[in-house]
Amino acid sequence: MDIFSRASSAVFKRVNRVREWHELPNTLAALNLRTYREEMRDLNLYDTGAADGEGNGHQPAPVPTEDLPKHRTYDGAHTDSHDPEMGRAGARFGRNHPLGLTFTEGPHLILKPNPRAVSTQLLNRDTFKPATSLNVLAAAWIQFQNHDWFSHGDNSPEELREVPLDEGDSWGETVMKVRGTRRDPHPTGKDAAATYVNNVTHWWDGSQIYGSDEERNRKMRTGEGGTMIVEDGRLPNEDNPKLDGIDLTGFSDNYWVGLSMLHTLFVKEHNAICSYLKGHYPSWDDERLFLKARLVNSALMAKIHTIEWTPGILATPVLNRAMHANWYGMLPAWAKLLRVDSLEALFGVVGGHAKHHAAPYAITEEFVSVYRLHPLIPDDWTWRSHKTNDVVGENEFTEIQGLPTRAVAQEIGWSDLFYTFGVNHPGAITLHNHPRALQNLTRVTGERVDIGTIDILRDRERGVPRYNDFREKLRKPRIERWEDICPNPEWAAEIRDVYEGDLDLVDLHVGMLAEKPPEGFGFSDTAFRIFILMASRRLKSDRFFTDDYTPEVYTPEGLRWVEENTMLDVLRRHHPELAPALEGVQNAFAPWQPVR
Amino acid sequence: MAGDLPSASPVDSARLTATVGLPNVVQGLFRRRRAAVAVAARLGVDGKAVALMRGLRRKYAPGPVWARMGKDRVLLLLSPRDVRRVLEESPERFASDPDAKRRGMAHFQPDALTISRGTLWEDRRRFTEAVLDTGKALHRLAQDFLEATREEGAALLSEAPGGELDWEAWHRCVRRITRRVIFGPGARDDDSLSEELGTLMDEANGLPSERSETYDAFMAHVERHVQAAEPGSLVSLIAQAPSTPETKPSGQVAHWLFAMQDTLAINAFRALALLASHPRQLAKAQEEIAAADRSSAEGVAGLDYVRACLQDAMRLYPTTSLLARETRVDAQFNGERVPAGTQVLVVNTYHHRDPDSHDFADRFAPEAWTEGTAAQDWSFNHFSHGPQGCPGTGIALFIGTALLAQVLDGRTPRLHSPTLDPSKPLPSMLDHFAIRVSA
Repeated sequence: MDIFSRASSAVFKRVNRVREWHELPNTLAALNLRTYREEMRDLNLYDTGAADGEGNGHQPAPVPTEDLPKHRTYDGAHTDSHDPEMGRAGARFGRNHPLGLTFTEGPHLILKPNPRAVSTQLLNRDTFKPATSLNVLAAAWIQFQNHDWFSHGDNSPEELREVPLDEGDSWGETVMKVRGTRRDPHPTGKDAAATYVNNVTHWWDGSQIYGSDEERNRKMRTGEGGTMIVEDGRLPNEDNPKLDGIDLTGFSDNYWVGLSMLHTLFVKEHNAICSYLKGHYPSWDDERLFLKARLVNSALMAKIHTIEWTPGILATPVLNRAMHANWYGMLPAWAKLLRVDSLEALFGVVGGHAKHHAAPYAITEEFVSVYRLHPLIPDDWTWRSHKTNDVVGENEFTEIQGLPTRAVAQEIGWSDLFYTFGVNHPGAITLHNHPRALQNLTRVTGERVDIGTIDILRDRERGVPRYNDFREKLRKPRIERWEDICPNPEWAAEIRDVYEGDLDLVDLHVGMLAEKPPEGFGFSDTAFRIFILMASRRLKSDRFFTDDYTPEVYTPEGLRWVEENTMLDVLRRHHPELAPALEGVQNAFAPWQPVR
Repeated sequence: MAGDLPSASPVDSARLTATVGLPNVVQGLFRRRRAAVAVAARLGVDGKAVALMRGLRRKYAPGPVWARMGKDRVLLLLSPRDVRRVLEESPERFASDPDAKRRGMAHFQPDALTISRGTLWEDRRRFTEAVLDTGKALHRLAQDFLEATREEGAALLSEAPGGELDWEAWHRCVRRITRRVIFGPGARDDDSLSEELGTLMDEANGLPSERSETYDAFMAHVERHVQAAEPGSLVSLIAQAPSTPETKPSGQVAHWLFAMQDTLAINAFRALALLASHPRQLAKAQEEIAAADRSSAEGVAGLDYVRACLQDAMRLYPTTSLLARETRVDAQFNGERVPAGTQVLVVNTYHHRDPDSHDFADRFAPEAWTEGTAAQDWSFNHFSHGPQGCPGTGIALFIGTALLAQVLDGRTPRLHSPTLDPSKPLPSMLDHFAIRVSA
């Protein structure tokens, strides 16, 4: 940290004893957040590459800049100029907490309290609680983005953990068998902290639509003009017969109609970019057009996430500006001239150079944990006509996911799907709002699961600290009294009962859902702390958003495409029929105008 | 994606004038001046134009961008997409006779197709295409043209002192071929006809406002050959071609003479210089020639690689460095209105050589035409594209290919001057006056 950061860190430490950052005036709040981020860059980034957590000390020689590929590679390798393996598919997840804290919980603790009880007594949705400032597209969007960033891969069918069930549990068996997370194929050592590998590229590179290896990628390409296969406005069907009914796309786990909509939309956007670039560079071959279009499309998705989705779900003026700064702040000086104000300049991710801070870039386990946002998913779906707003069909969530996905998309059609998503609210991210469908879900593998139980169990398994320890490591105060754990006293009492009066046992997931979020926020301040560190890191560590965010690498036309388009433009381009519903809408993730 | 069209800074405009506008005028708009061409080549002004245009594209992509060239406010196209659009809509919406071109050309060919508008353009285009067999695989008189080319080619090679070809000998040869193709054998030695046109073009370089005194004499000279209508010549086909009192066939013929006797001569000579300095391409061309029947028109038409060598020479060193158009009606570019009467410029030297667009930008790359997409690429406009694409493309390529094949058959030419190194990016300009090749 620089001197300024140290000083402000000391000041805000005192200030925050009396007032949280979100209770301060905007400018101070922004400065407070910047200080948090600086602290976390020093104290909350840990390299899992070595058992001691101090990093392995191995500094490979930098690859000369002119030798680095000027495009995103299929598996994410060679994105970093020093370490070709950084962020590659198959690289380990990193940590935000010291590795000494990140062991799988022992047998005496891991089922305490019973995760199924947490699911049925605290997470279960009694009534649907909507998040009224958002639409359902925002829910699908974050899953779409998560699938770009991380996947623990298929769970291990051999390692089954048995969760005992109460008599009379609606599950209908005496124990619930939950598969363990796939083990790190090259674990560091017997006594080392738990490590897992990311099945997809860590980078913000659109791998959910482009895939994380070349073979998969080639299957989805036409081989002409850089384009990807779209047939009759749809992606092709999976070629794996076991996944018949799911789109052939880069990453299709946990697939449902909301993902199909966004995957298809952004493959169409890719093709639109190809055709635009081909007009300007007629002599480019398929590969070159593909690689450039991927760069542009990935950057556009990153921009949409940063300055549209995020200010949508974290709706405060401070965040709106901060996120613009995250995007525009990282750009080279010439581009910054486009948009700058004093607050952004203050908050901006200054400079234009890639930097990893305390550890090599990797998505972290804690980041995965704070992005468990299942309450966003509604259970009951009433499809409406984009022309008349009339009801055209009804489904439960179970019916619109997994193998039936393509059939549902075909039956309802993109226009009514997007319209319905646009005018309806997702669930609020709170307790008692976990979708029913996800508490008893049969996966495409045939495995029957309660995602609620799994949400709790995964953090304990992967060595993500429980709520109070997690807060402490983010330098947030521990919760000392039950009445402080949740603004709803009834829920606070329920939590106390489930956790048998032990505040330190409260799971991270429950604590975050119970918290009162800052004004305008769609999720907790605890989750947000990880977010402010990692969201800017996804940009700051990636040379394609920093040193190589240039006209030379993207083409000047490509950069312009990124700068001039928004989610609304993308929707209007591929679905001009939605124009009436989008009229007057400022943010595509906020509720649209019902027609008529 | 709408917005106001950007304007280049005064500094960039000054650079544009210095690297594109002025050199074009100084070297001679219609006939190149030897000393000025040598200076421009030494300075590499076309290379500076490419650098300037690349910079403009980075700043203002996708363009177009307003700029000043000299005293004129012009719209500079940066993207092949816009180039294509403008050429597709020429001459209906974009006339190809901006002031300077009209004034210069009116001096030596006031009736030329390229400076005609509206129904007059349609009339003359119809006539021209009928005579030149535009778009046909082979001209109906191709065999006659081939024989003329072979005879003149043989004479060139036998007369070359010490086996060395220089510009004067080459030019003389191509002029003879041109006169035979257009007018028939009787015009072979009528060198004064070519000289008269040359004098008129020299005068036109100065953009005179008055018609030349020598123009009438020159046209009378052309007219005599047209009337003769020797069998096997292009002018023998005029009688059958659709025409009206406005067509002015002799006025069209004057333009063919201009395009072949000078432009084709320069392009084919540069192609020879490139081949004579690029052993790999030369070997490939020679292999193709050895396997072909050079004595038949079909055989020559099948020399795809040799023809590609000529195409790529024209891409690398376009004799028309700038295409100018003028909006006849209001036009929209990127959502902004561009008023009627605006000059729209296509800098061929940039689009042909933009390294951001073409991997082979600065290489001699005939394979881009035989295996790649260059033939469909509207970035390359040495023959232009669209409704105003050169109606004589087929004939020019045929004759150029036949002549190159003759020179290369059984000979391995070497480039004596200037120096071209195939392992390095090619220089931005190639002074054809200075080329000397041993054959």
